[in-house]
Amino acid sequence: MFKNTIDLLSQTIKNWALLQHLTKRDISNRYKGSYGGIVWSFLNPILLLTVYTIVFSVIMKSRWGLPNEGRIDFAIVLFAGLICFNMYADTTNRATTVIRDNKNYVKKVVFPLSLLPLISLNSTFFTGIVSFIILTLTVAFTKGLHSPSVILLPLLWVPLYFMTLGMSYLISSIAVYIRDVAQVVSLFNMMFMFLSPIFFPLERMPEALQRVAALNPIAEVVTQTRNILIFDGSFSWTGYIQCLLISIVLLQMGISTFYLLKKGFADVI
Amino acid sequence: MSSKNVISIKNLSKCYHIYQKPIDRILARWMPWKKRDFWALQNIDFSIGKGETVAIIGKNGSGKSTLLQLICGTLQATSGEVRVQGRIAALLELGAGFDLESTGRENVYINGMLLGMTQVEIRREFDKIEAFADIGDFIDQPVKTYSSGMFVRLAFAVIAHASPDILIIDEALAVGDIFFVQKCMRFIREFKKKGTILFVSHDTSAVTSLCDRAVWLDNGQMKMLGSAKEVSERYLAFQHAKDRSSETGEEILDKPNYNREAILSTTTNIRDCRQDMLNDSNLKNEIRLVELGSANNGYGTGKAKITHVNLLQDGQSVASIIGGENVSLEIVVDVSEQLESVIAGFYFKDRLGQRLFGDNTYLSYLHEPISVTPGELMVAIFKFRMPILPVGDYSIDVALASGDQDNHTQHHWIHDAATFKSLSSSVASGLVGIPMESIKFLKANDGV
Repeated sequence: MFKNTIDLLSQTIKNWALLQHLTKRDISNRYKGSYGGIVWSFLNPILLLTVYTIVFSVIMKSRWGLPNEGRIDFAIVLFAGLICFNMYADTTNRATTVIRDNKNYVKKVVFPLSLLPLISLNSTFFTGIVSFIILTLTVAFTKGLHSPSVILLPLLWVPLYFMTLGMSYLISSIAVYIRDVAQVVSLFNMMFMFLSPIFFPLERMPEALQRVAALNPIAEVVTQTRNILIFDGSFSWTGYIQCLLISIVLLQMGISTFYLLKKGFADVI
Repeated sequence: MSSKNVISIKNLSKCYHIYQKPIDRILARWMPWKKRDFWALQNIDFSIGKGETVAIIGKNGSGKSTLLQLICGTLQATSGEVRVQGRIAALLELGAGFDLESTGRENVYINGMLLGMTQVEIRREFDKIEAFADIGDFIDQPVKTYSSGMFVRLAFAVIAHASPDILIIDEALAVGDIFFVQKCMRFIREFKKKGTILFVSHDTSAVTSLCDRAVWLDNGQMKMLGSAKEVSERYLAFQHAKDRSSETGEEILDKPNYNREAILSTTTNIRDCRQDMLNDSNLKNEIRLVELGSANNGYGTGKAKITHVNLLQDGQSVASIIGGENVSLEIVVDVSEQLESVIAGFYFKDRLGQRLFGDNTYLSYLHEPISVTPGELMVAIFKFRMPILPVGDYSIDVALASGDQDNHTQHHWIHDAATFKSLSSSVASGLVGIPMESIKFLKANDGV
């Protein structure tokens, strides 16, 4: 079981330069041919945040229910949740086609296939982290960062990264055999979005759903991100470790499935 | 022994499961009748030593590419094992590892890294790779704008500089122009001195000139393993025999039923003065009979049928002849209706269908036209010196007609009744070479 994980690690180290190169290419390919180039990576979240502020805070006058809530608060809280969730959703959506899209690497050259989901994950995370930087700066300028625990923010990305990678491995390898996975994943992600407290606080969920959501690492990551960045700056180590463990289990499951199914890729594609 | 083998293949088999519907792929686990097995390779067993050059030959669908993919590791064997020692560089298909959106330069880096080079190595070799590929400014254009020739140039250039231990070349080189193919061949010959090569080709002349050994695959089975020359000759002979019997759908006698020796009389040979020298050199103009075409590929009234077309040398039907030597073209005709003034003839054509030469029996029998009765067997024999042919493919059309030179009815015309390959040639220019009886080049004041 751990043999695969060790193999994955050694493959990644061996092909480090290749992984770096392909990730860079994946990021730059997104903006290839556009005049803005990499600037879009920064412009996008800024514009998105502006739109959210106007729509939710100004037009719809939505309130999160914070004491002395300001105009921009709802948009910031929403944005913090969406960044985390989109990292997961974008990567898993891409995972449904990532192997098929690289037919040549499967059939015609000797290529470490386990890198493919990793490349798309890294490239989405790059965008996510840029968004986080914009968000942090916005919070710093509008409300001020009042807790030193902000430095723990990168720590929260670890379970998110593990979980997303695990699901990517699982989804990408099954999708090679069953194309319907693509439909299932986009539906599931939609449901998942409402199971994570993106648009509303966790406390507003029904009791039963709250217990399910507690097992969802994304919910935990989103809640804790808001806590340290926007709310009271509290950080729950027990909650963190629990969600880290769940994400490691998911990663391990994903890797095992991927290695099991990988052998037949060339036959099916 | 085993330590010297860089590739050893033991009892290797590859089975593809074929399903009617995609869902059967899952159901087959519990319902085995839902799948059909297709054995692409069965019980392949051989090994390749360090420094050897081995060819894999076989017709399309015989399992050549599957075998290469198994060796490269892109496919998993169903049973048996492949053991490879050393770094493999494979040119399996035209620029397969290329990303179409990226530039040639980026692709050199990606492909180089896939072949196990480090970024530093690639940077060091980059100028050489660029020079080898010789595609000019296109190196900084996305490869989707490349022609197929440019693709293979760049792909080969990377492989050539990745310093692999084992080089695997699938028929990809066929698209390059002559200069590039020559460049690749020079590289391959150079590489042969230190590395191991696995080579797949239909071109048996390239196989014989390049490889030490050859493996012949037929329907996934290993039919023969031996010296490259022996295997490719047997392969050609086999294909030839198979084409003859399968296409005409009837048993063909090797020798038609008449006294051939009595008709073929010997005449004095006129030989090229350099013939013996040439025949001993690699310029020997060997022309190989590749296949006797199908009798169906033609037209005519059907009142007569050409049953055999053979090339004879010393009274024997041969599969290869040497340009500049005497040969006889034998056309055997089965006549089914009464015909007056029959003429048999042939055209010798090059690859483009250009008629190089041809002749018929009309003038020789002008004063005593031949008439035939049903059931008669006619034999036409044209004895001539085979011109020396430039390297390439050739074919013969044969025909039987009745009438005269200008006004005649075709009873049976067969297109490409026989096709030939000229493997090497001393022809310097022109469509054909003519045997030179003597060549002198002297200083005139020596008084000769």
